[in-house]
Amino acid sequence: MTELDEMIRSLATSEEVDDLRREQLRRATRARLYSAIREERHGRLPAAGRWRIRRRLVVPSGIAVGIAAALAAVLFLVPSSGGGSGSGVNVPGIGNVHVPGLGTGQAQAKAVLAHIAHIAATTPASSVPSANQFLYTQWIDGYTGNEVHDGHNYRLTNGMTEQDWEAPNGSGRQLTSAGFFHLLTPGDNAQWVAAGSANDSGAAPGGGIMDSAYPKGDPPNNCGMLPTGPAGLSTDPKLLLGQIVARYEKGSYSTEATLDKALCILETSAYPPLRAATYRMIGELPGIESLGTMTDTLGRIGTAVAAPPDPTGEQYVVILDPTTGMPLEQEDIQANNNHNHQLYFTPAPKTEQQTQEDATLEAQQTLAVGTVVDYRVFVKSGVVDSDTALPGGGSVPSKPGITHQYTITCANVGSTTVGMTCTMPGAGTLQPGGVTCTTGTLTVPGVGGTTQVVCPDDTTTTETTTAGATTDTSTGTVTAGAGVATTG
Amino acid sequence: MHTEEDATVIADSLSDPTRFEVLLERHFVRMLDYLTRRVGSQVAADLVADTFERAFRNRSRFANADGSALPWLYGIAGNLVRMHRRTEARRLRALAREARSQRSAAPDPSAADGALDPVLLEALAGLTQPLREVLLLHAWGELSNEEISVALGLSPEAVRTRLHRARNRVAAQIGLASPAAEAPTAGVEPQTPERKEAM
Repeated sequence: MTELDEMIRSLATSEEVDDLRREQLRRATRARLYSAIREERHGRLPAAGRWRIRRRLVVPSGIAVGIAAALAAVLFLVPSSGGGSGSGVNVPGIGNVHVPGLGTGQAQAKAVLAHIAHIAATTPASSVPSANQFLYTQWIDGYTGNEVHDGHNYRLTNGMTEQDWEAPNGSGRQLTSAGFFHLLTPGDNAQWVAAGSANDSGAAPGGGIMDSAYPKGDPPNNCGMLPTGPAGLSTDPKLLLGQIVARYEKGSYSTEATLDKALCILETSAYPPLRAATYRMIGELPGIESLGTMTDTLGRIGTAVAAPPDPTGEQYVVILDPTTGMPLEQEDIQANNNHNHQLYFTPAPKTEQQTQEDATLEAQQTLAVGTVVDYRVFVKSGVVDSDTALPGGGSVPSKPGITHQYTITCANVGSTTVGMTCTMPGAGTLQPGGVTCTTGTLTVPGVGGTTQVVCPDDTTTTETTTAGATTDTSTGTVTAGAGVATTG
Repeated sequence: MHTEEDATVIADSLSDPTRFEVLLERHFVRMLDYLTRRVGSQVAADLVADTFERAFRNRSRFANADGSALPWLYGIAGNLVRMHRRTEARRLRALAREARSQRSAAPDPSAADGALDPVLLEALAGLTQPLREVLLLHAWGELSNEEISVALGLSPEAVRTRLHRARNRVAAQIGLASPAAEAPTAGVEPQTPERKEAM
């Protein structure tokens, strides 16, 4: 175990679960197990592979102490089950899939989505990258948070920009910018200005640029494995729902989770019949509702649909462009006054006399209905020719190469020549538009000499060392900062 | 070491389902603790029950005939956590903010709770889900590469590569010299990590 592993291991990311609480949970889990055993014995369960409606586990809550005071303020999103009696969908290749409450979406949402589906079905897909191109997408991720500066407690919204270049084979590059923030209320802003700052925004603390390459099969989000071509998912809304539930949600079905997956389809260059089916499927989800016209963070006007609020009062909302159906923004909104001890931030006590518990309680009760607690703005997308190009022109710098220091150790020679080739993992060749790496020969000055090699991140290298009568070949993977390699 | 192998218990449970309770008693605490660290106690309370119920319903698929059921259970738990990936990431970020607030408010920032490192928490939150899965199975689940391979259905080499990549990304973000130990390249010499000044 490395020092880093030890650091992660020692992170106190959760409160202690005391013995009493642990036994409560053990009994509840045992009860669930025996319920399943009874169902099996009474033949109420078909063969393995049937999925069920997610049930909430109800157990008495214990009162945590210490760090729990902080953790209690963290907002936990618990998908709602949606309800409804449910029905079965026979998915080819999978079998009968139980989908709860199929067809219980509200009429207004159905009508809105049916209209958008009609538009989508007749709009050609415009963003389909060819083999040597990338699908570029840009979005802003943000959340409502809390920061303490100079003894003052500010409520603000944090955000960061993410850019993604994905090749048709599923590999790509992700570039995440440094974060920013905006103060949430006029009161926060006034306090901020009074404290000596002229602006109500700035660079978020702790933010940094992350530039990473990901190989095929390792997408930076949960969407990468969704097949969105003609041979992928069904264009029948009911079958599509069955496929998503069976393949991606397993036993944890919820309207919110399905909507989340549907967004994965709508964000991409999925072909028109699949897009249309996706909108119609959303309209069938249990409890789906229309929220009418909404404005997203960038000021764009769209039509919004939402999953039912979860037990904390938070609601998963999607704002769609009514003229194209493209997603504009996904938000989590405080939808009602059922704040139920859920906050996304830990408020600082306002006075020395106020306890953390009281401060949390006050903040729970004053978080305004309609507050956007978490958002994801879809900025733009398009097909580009390289992983540095931007749609409509412009570019960003290449992902910087990584300098690796190799110590070449050879015996009985005065100098060593190293032939080196670099290839990206997977395809065996450099990706389209990918960064170049050092090839050719390198001369090491002497026995035990050292030379510098520059290769892109996550690159496989083959080194051939010829030294007098000795020939040695070694192959390895170069990863960012992999450190010192020894060949010889 | 348990006197009766998990595989035997699972095989017996196919004819006597109540035998599955042995596995629950044997692994419950470890699964609960792991899930609590991943998604917090409230969600973990639900997921731990989901994990054992799903394991029971799919016990005929258990394939590790010679080994512990733990990797298999971690794999099931990981699938459930994946459904809560947004919860997990935002929870880590919220903890990071909490840690920052504590440090800002502390008279002596150096005395603030070192068990809540905001930079490290944000680095974990920023990992892609597949990389975070492997890293946390290793660090919090205390599984070996081979066990992670069983849990996730990956080749051992893929596990090593992902683990290496995850460590490098976290190390780069927190300003730690790259941890070269267990790098997938044979012959890579481990370095002694040196923590840079915190941001």
